[in-house]
Amino acid sequence: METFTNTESQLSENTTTKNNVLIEQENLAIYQALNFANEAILIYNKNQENIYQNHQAQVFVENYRCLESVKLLPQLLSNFVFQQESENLSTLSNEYISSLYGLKARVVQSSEQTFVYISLNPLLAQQQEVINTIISPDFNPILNQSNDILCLTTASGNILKINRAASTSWGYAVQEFQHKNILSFLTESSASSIKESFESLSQGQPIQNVVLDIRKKDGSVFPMIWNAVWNHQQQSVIAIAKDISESLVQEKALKISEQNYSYLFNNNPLPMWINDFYTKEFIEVNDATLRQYGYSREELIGMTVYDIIAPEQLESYKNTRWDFTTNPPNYRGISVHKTKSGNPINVDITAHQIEYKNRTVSLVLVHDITLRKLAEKELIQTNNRLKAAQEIAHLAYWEHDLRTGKVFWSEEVFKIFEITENKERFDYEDFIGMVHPEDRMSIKLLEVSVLYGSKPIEKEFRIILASGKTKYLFSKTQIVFDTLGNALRIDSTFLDITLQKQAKQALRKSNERFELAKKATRDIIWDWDIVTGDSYWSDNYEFIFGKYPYGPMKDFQDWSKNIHAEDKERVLDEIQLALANPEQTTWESEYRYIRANGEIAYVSDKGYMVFDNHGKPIRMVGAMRDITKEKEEEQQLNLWKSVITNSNDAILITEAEPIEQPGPRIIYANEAFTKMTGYELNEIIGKSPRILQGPASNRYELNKIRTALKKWEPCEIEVINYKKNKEPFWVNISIVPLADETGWFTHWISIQKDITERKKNEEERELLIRELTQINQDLRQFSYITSHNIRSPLSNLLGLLKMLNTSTITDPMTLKVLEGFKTSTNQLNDTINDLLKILVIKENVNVQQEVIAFETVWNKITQMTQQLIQDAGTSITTNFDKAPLVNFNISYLESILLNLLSNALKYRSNKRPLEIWVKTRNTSKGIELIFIDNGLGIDLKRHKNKVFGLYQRFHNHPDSKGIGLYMVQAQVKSLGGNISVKSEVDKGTQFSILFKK
Amino acid sequence: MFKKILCVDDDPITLMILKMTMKKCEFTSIVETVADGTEAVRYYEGLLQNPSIDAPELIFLDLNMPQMSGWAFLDVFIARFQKYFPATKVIILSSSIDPEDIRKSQAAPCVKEFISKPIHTTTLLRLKSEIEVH
Repeated sequence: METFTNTESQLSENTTTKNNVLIEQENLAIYQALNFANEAILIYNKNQENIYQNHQAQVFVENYRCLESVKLLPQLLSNFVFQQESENLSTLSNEYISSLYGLKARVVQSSEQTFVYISLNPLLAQQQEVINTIISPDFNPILNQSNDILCLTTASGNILKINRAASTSWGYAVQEFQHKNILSFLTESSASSIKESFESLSQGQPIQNVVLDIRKKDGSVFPMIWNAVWNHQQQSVIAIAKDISESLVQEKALKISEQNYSYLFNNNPLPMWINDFYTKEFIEVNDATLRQYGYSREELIGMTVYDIIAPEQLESYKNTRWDFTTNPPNYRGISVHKTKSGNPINVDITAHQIEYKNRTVSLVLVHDITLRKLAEKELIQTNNRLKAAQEIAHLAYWEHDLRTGKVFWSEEVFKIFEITENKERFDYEDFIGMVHPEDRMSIKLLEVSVLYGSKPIEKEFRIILASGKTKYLFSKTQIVFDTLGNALRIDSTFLDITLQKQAKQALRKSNERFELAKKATRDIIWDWDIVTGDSYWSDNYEFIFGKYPYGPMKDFQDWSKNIHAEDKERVLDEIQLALANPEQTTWESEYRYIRANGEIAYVSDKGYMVFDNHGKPIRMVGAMRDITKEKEEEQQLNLWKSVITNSNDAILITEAEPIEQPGPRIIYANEAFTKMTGYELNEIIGKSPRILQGPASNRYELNKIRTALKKWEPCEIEVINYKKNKEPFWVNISIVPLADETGWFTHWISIQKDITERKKNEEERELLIRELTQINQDLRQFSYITSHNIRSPLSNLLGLLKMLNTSTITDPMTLKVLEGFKTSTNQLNDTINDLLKILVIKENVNVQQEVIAFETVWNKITQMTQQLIQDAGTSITTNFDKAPLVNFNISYLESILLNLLSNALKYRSNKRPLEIWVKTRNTSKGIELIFIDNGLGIDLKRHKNKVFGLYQRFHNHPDSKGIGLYMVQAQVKSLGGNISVKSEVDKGTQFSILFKK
Repeated sequence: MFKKILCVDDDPITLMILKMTMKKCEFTSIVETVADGTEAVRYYEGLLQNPSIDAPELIFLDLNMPQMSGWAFLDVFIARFQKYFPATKVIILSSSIDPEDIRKSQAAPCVKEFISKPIHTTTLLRLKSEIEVH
């Protein structure tokens, strides 16, 4: 936070360009903010040129028609302001009160700019001034001298800068404003009432003249008037608070201004008075009035305005028309008054209706215009000269004297109005009466318009003569001022333009007719003079065919050379034939025509022959029409039609509705449809496709169509339909709605395919699958029963062998036989158990899976086979670090690793000590386990696909049953994994097992 | 040691081995044997008529038997006899590997275990300890 006290450092910084730019940006923001102000604000540069007007100023300038005066305003002000020595900044602010407009203007001048506020709200003007002081740091002294609170805050109200006045006015030390929210200095009710408005400041909604209560440090509460705007460039709020007691000062200022008014009133050199608006009693009169009219103040205060008006003007005074459209209402007019001694004086009156001491009064300013008479005399002489000129030019002229109300008519007026009698009685009302009723209002308003605009007004109007004849007149009306700027009279000159007007109208009408005809038809109208060969082509020729390089059409040749080469001979022959045939009066043809851009257009052309007295054709008038679009559409349509007609799929077109009973009517069916169903075309057109349905038609599928149709959606179903001979057939029906160019659905198109054959195949296939499933089930059951029946006696054999006490048998032969019996039984049992395991793996789909550590399982199985490993002198290298865990079935994993390990042990090479490497790794597809040995290896070329097969043995090893790898693969695959093998004979084998992630 | 065991099996050799194995590990005092489900039902009907006779504590039940299968007998046993002999446990002793059989045995509350033939002395010893402790 900083205060504005560090003025000097800021001033020096401001000499840099960067800061100037910043200030300019700030200025821009402020200018935008000023548009929210209630008063008109104008800014002038050093040269006193206007460089900125806010929105209100622009409106002001437009509405009050006093642009000139406003322009002059700074000139007037400059007398006050610019001449002052600006040593003391605090004296720069000055007030100027315009007596002309009753407007108060405030002026603030900086070293660069002058700000002018024109406002009916002096309070706001002052605050706006304070806003402007932010524009330039030059104002910092003023800021800190100001009694107004000025602060910059963030959007949420946190204080960034605050001036010294806040501290002195609210009783807080400057430091106490640090990091505080401006709203926290308000009373709670004020803070909550403004919170929302404050937060929307950044959206461009200023806070204007809101009274909010401040809680001073000593706890007392006092109201202030707040204004705040959002400064977009600085992203901060500029808030100004003004002590409401300041408004007392304003009231004082108002009193002073009233005093100024009264000074202006009393010392005005022109007569001014205030009279009651209704009774016309004099209330106040100034000294000039007394001088002008010769009464004393006491005399005049007891009188009414009626008493000083010349008797002949009394009536018009009573009918005075005030302009209530302005604020205040005003009246301006010319009248004749009389002095106390009875002398008439010509006066120009300006009056305003105002409120004064609780009464409605007229403030009247009187201008003695008796002195103008001389000037007017001169004017009359000039007019006489003009009259002579007008007569020569057949210009009619009239003038309306605004002071006398009299109208003067030139001789030419009577000529135009065809008035021969009572010319001297012809007055303004007579003139208006002759104006065409439709034009009367605008002529009446003409004078008013002239009064309010300084430019001459040109107008066309009609008059109706006594004979009933209508004349067209062209008038030019303007107002004439005297040298003092007072309106003297209205001049008007006019010309009879009836003849020109009639000619113009006739022309326009004929043009209109022609244009209408052209617009109504797309046809190119042509006219061919057979004798000369000349031809006329209507304008739309180029619009339709484009601009040809050789220019517009001139003759028959121009046309014929654009006919398509293949059609040219035919068309020209047809014309020759038509011309030669006396029976024929018309010619008609269709042909291709080359457009300017080389494209081919299709045209339809019709000609009508005109004959001479001898029946010889001399002229042909015709209409040529571009039918390319129709032709193309027709061709397109023919194409589609042939597609539909020749389609191998049956196609039906029906009307769009009704979807409920009896169903939409068929309007078209192609040959494939009649072939498919056996119906003749005439048997189905007009019927509903429902005639094809029958008892075996699936209701559910048919309802799908109904539902889709109701929503105007396409659909596809497969259903049994019936041919004419009642034979059922399977059909695939695809239905789509057809819309016209407006998007309205008009038809349904249904494409149908006989799918009986396919359905039959599908049914057969389904039957086969069902049968196979059953057989599979039976086989499985069979295997259970078989295994049971084998296992039962086998288990008995095993049991019996266990019971057998060989110690009691002495015959060595019997012992040997029993030993062999025992071995074979155990082998049989192993085989059966292996087979059963496989059966169980295949069967079991829900094998429990868990997260297993490879290390643990590996240790377990190496423990189990410890003896074998040691016997083979095996060296084992494992590395499970890269993928230590896998999600798998623990007994499967044990079985897999045990199988691989025992295989490696069994099929080791006797040429070298066995080495085994086991490692795991994480791949994108899953966890991979790699098992490598340096054993006998497998000849993969020979055994390629059999490695993992059942009962496949690759080594002549006594323990080999050919089941281990089959088991491994079955267990890996049953859980979604995969196994692959690489091997080289007498080098070793590598198994890679991929466990699904 | 159990007092009385009932073995239901149609295979006399199985029954013989079973008896010998039980004897070997002193599993029970008395082994009663019947050849199929119908005979087992009759046996239990006899028990009901003669309450003085001790009921078997354990039934070893084969599944695949002529006339009345092990499952059929189990249904009858649960329906008619279990309420009178609530302490009796059933052990399925079968050569079947049909997963359906294993599932069924797990579903019946009176079935203690499904044991695959042939029965070993270790299994019997385990059963003895488990049930006696219980």
